[in-house]
Amino acid sequence: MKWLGNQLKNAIKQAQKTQESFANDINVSRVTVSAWIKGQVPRGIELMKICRNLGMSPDLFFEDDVAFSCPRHRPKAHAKITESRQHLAEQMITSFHDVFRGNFSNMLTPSLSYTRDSDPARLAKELRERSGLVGDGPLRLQDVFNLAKYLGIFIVPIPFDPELKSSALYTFIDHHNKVIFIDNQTFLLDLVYFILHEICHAIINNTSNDYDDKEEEFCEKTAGLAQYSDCYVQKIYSMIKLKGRYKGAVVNLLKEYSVKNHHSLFGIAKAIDIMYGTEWGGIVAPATTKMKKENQATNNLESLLLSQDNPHDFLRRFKSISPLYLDQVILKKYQSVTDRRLSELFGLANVLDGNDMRKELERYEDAIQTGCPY
Amino acid sequence: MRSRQVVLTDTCAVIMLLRIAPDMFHREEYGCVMSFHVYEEFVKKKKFLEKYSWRPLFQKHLRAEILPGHLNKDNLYRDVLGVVKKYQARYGLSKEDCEIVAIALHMNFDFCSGDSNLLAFAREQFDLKTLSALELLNDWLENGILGWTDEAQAILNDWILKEERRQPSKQIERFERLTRRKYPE
Repeated sequence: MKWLGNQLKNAIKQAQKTQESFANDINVSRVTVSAWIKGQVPRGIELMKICRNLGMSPDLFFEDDVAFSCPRHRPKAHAKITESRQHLAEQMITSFHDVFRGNFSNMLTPSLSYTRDSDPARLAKELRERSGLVGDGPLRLQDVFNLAKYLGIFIVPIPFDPELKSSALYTFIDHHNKVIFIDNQTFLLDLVYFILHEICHAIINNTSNDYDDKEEEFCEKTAGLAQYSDCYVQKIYSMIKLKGRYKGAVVNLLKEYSVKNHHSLFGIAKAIDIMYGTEWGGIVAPATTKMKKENQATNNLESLLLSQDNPHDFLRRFKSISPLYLDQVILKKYQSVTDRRLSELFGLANVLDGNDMRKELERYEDAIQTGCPY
Repeated sequence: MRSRQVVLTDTCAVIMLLRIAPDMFHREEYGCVMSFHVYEEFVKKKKFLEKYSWRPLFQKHLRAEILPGHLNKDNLYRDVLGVVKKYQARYGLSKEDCEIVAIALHMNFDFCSGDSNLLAFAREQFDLKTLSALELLNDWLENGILGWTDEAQAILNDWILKEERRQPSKQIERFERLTRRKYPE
């Protein structure tokens, strides 16, 4: 937040006071008022007196000075892009400005050169390679986290407002920080696709906030192709053909593979539909909804993190998900934020004890500095 | 000796003091109040707080006098909160931190917390009278509201075992003078 000293000058004038009389009113010296006008930020108690005396909101004296993008992306389940959703997304992003402000630690990272007009298959192939995945299997959650790390993208897992109708959101903060916020309440099996989709946006890095249909199509296609290799889709399809026409048996088979290989049931059905012109996406939809309902509460990132029994294991698990955010952001800030804010930074406000985490972060930092294993 | 004043106690302070003074929110002499934020944080299952397994037994001693209904309708409180929030990013505060400090300011309470960053903010920006958990305990001892017992001393030992926030050395000296007991290390 930037203090606008000039606004104070204008406000005093508007109130038809002199700077001296205003200073007397609020019991400070004229020199102090002059310093505020020149840019010195008043203390909170002084700001209260300023606002009461002039009858003005404190909002008038500050502006947000951290640049960020908040692109309009397609929400899930064909929900509409609305101004209120956009506002919610902006609020979510600005609540993290303080932690990314002035962070230049990620400037030297590999830059993949793709645009929305590039070949999705080419980018998909490169993403699979860069994730470190070996073989033809589907990309798993850890592969995607490894990919984000490689590309220098910060992953911030926090609870989303359900009204956002989104599970992941890419933003570019303070000119240097590519950040993907992910909803830590999203069903784990669905998360791979959503993160991949936002990674594609991050690679294109279109800083305009306008909705771009072509970019959305590109990211959707690339994410699908990256998540499931052609070989994997072919293999699953050949298994389906063996099951014949029994829809129930096919749905169960797809469910089995989803759970075994940690991917979305709907996602693999859609990949088969795209390759073979089938319509399994619609057929598996009820099973997908049922699976989510039965498992979402216990099968999301929050529950995964909270399944750890002690702060040490919790931090190790968090590091596997978001190493850049932990090492380059949280470690730099944890001593200067309150306990509650610290647990907010982990996306677990009111659930995680900030004091416990602070002590654990001290141990973690010591281990890094001394080169000892953590 | 500090003059009597109502003290808004934060969650970390409640956790440290409640077993020593279960009546702290029920007897006026203690001069303590808490907000609904603190009540919710105390009762909600928090990760790694299994170390405070005694919490359910002491829940009945809590009393949240300051409720959201009171605050939401209070324009003056909302004005104060608006000012506090302007410093939120600079001091690394959460939304609840801002609301709690705004309550203390608006209602002219002193503020007791274990979070030194939060205390520093309240003091530096708003001249709020802030105190650590041990300072509040010392005030009770000095005013004769509380007598010191072996059980209370054991709870103090527990502060150290559970790695509670380090208390100011001046207050440690004061405690030892008042109780003629050694503050645990």
